[in-house]
Amino acid sequence: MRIGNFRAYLIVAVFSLVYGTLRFSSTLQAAHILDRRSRVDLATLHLQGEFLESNLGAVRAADGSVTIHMIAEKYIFAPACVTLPAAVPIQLRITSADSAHGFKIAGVEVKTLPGSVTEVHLRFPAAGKYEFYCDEFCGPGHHAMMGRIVAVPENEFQAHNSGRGVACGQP
Amino acid sequence: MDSLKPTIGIRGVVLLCIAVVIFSELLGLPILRRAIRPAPPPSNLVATAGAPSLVAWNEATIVLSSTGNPVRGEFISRRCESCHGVEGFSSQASTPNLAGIDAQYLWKELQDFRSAKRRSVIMQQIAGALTSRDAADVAAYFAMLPNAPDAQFNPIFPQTLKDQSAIETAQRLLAVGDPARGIPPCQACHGPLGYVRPAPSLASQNSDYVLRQLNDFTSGARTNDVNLPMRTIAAELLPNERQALAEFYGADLARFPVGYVTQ
Repeated sequence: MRIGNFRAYLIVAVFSLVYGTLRFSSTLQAAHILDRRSRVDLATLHLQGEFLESNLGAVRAADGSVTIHMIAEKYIFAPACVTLPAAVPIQLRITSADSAHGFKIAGVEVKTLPGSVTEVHLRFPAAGKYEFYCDEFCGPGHHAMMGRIVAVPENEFQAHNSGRGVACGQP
Repeated sequence: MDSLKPTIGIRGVVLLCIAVVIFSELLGLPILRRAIRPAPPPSNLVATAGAPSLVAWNEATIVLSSTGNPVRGEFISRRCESCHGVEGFSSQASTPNLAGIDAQYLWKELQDFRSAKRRSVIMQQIAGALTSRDAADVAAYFAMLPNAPDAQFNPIFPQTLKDQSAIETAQRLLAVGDPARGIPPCQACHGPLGYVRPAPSLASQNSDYVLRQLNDFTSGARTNDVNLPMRTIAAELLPNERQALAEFYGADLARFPVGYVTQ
């Protein structure tokens, strides 16, 4: 069997485009999950490391950068309410304590998996309240899995601030 | 003369495809190499407050806590009877009923009492005298008991409902929760719809005990819920909602939270 040159090149071009794209993107995703820097021990999440209870919430480093540490679990986000400075680049590090969860806020949408940290860069342009919620079905309480980010003017933000409950402790 | 023109045969196509596969795999190598690089040194964040619980759910603790010996546990349970009652139903409404409660939850609470992560003067002494294996055995015994109310052994359960309007409030919170406030339905973790380790089943639980726990989670007197689930939810509940939930559970109405016939 013989194939014309043009048809042969077409077959090879289509194959390489499809295969190359799939393979490259899946490698990227696998790299994120396999990356040791993004791996955490699920069993000792509350005993050591960056997801200790006292580290949850927003914290501002000495160089002025703000990092949020958050745990998604059935069926809440911990902490459910975070106070942040507005108009400042923010790094969110989120992990899951049990199953796959989502984190969706105003156009940004990421997934979290148990045992691995997902890192997102956010920026809240103006002061105000922003709601986020889980967009990956996780069980019978999924519909109520949400939280709130309260962006405040930069000068009102304290160094380490995370509220109790979804309303940041306010009635 | 066409036959003299060089053409790629089917063999050529296959060979080129293989070349593409090899090229793509090589392209991914630098990414995967980054994945097996050693982890960076631990972050400089300092653990200021203690952990909520010292129990880590790894293979050893899961196996230990779920394979207790209930026969041996029954002997150990003799020292629980004076407060938690024969057959796991207490005679005081402020003491929890233990009949039919998940063994892993009971085991974790005993460990937390022992390490003073859950504060109780009496329970700290009693749990402190038990080894991990003892705790697993006694937890297996209580988990095995039927949690159906039996008038012979549980004179105070179910309790009478003080306020009929509590039913509607509690049914809504149990079955739907309040999504606008981030309150998931209670029954998604505490049953009967679903269970999440180590959330306890709340069917046949005393109302005074449920109310006190909800208030303690709100005030921060009880902090051994790992990753803050109950402290977050209880802080969102209004005082009358906590009261309604406690009465609903105490009246044994939680077995069928939706469509239960109210008398």
